[in-house]
Amino acid sequence: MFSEARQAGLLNRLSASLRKAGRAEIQYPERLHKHVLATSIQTDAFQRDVHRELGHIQQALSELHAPVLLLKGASYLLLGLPAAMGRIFTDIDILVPRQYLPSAEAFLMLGGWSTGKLEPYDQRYYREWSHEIPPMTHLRRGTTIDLHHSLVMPTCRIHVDSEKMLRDAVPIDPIGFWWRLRDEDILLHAASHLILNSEFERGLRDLWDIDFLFRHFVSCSASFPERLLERSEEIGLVKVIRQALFLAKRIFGTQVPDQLLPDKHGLFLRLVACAASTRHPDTRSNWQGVADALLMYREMYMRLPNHLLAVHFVHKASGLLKRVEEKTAV
Amino acid sequence: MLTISACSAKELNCALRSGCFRLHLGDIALKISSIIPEFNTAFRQLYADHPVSLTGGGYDFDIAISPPSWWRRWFRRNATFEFCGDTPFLPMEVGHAHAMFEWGLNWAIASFLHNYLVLHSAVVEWKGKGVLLSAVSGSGKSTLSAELSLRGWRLLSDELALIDDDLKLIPLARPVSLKNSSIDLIRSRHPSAIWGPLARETHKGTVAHLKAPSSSVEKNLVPAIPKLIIFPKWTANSPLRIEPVGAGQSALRLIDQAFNYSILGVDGFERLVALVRTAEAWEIEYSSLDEARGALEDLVFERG
Repeated sequence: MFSEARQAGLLNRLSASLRKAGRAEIQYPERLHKHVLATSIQTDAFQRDVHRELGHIQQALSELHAPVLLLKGASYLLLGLPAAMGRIFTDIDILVPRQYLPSAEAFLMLGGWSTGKLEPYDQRYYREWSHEIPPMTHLRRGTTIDLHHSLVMPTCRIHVDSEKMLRDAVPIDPIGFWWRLRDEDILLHAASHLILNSEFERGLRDLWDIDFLFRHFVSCSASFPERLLERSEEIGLVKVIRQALFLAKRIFGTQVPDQLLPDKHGLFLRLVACAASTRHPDTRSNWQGVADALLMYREMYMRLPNHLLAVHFVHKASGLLKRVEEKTAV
Repeated sequence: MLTISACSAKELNCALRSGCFRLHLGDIALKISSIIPEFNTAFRQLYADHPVSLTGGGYDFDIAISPPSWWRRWFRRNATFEFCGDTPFLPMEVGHAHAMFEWGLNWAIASFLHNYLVLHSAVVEWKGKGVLLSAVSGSGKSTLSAELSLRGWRLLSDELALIDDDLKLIPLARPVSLKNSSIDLIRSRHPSAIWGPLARETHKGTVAHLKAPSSSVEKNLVPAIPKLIIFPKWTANSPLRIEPVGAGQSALRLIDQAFNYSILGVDGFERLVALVRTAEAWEIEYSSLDEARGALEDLVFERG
């Protein structure tokens, strides 16, 4: 289990959960306890680094004079949500209103972040169609920012009113630099990120986030499920939130009321359940490769309208002929 | 406990195939799986004295040396280092698999064992006194630790110093990795030493592994106390030169060679300060291994 958790990028969270439960509650061998301690040292260092990095970003964007919205992992950490527990991530996701995008990018470049060299096609993919600009990596620290201007791809086939989510965002700190989505929207964004993307090697973590977020918000307010449903209808994410909560319930036993569950569970949910499950070679399903491939095609289908889809596939197919390995030598 | 030398090749291959094989590297237990005969043979030579289990049990790391895809078992044969089911590195040819295992294991220890302050340094012991040999790659650290270990010093590691919260050096005796001309040098000085297969044209040049002395492997559960920090530097035709290094300077140099210093935060700083306060540091420049060893034995005797 530790080996699988390490592979799923969840050992830090598993360790944090075990520490929280206490050794008296859950018995496990001394050898594993050493790894629980080692990963908690790593998590502490990681969270220190994120806080420091947020300080750097705040300094770089201090002249922007626009609200900067913090998304996903970094927002869970700054808000002190339980979903931040043992959560390790590689990029900090931030969002600025579209009209501020060019100046935000310029300020970040002055602060040392850069998108580096990209192929012309990838550049165009990000700049014309995507909801974010290419990842910006800091030249010295190697940290990465994903700078968004929208919560979902504007070309997405499901109509999502992400403008509405942005309008209803609220400031986190008294000086009003960092902003956050409201509670329901945090969960809706996490769900749409899971369901509309194909990064299922991190699917288990994303589902655990959804479980954590749902449990936490329900414990804060009993009427949260009703508000969530209402909000998802306004935004256009009813189907997505139902699918995400169904999967969370299935894997993490989240207590989800019936109105937030899908009526029927089709092939898609079975594919996601397969892809988000264990990926360790000893225990994974033989169908995982197939599920991954189908889900990746579905993701592109959802993201792009037909003519762009055709362009994208032709480009990727020609790329296969000259594929270069990305991994590095030992 | 059972050692590899007491197992038949068949028993070993069977355990490596079934996922029941555990290697005990001091306190660390590794689950190792492999269906690559070249790796199994080299492993059996180089780890002959290490305690193992063929019937499963708890483990720290899950490592597999496996073909990158099913057909690569027969055509254009390659091997990958699989860590907990992930393949963090590029595959290498099967003849290099044992070298890849050592590199991958170093990476795993340096990346995950944050219970220890992990430094890029060889660790040896003479007359019960622990000595760190810290240097950048290419300054002869492995060659010197190989030479010392073949002259009666105890080897703890040729690559990684693990320092626990009690300031003890955790032993990790395993094959010493030697490169290029140092292979022939040690081979000519110690004709009876046991070597694994030569891996030619790796990204680090030609690499060969020297089996760790059995006396060192037997003491893999006994930590050492650090008494000296040595910054060795091999320079062709250089006369022997030994100079003291101040504690502050020594700490800064060790930080430079630390893998997880920043992850350990305040604790890492305190451990390092305690280390340089208990162990004197010396820089030694040499061209003759005999002179270097003589000088180190004198230093341990007088200052350790």
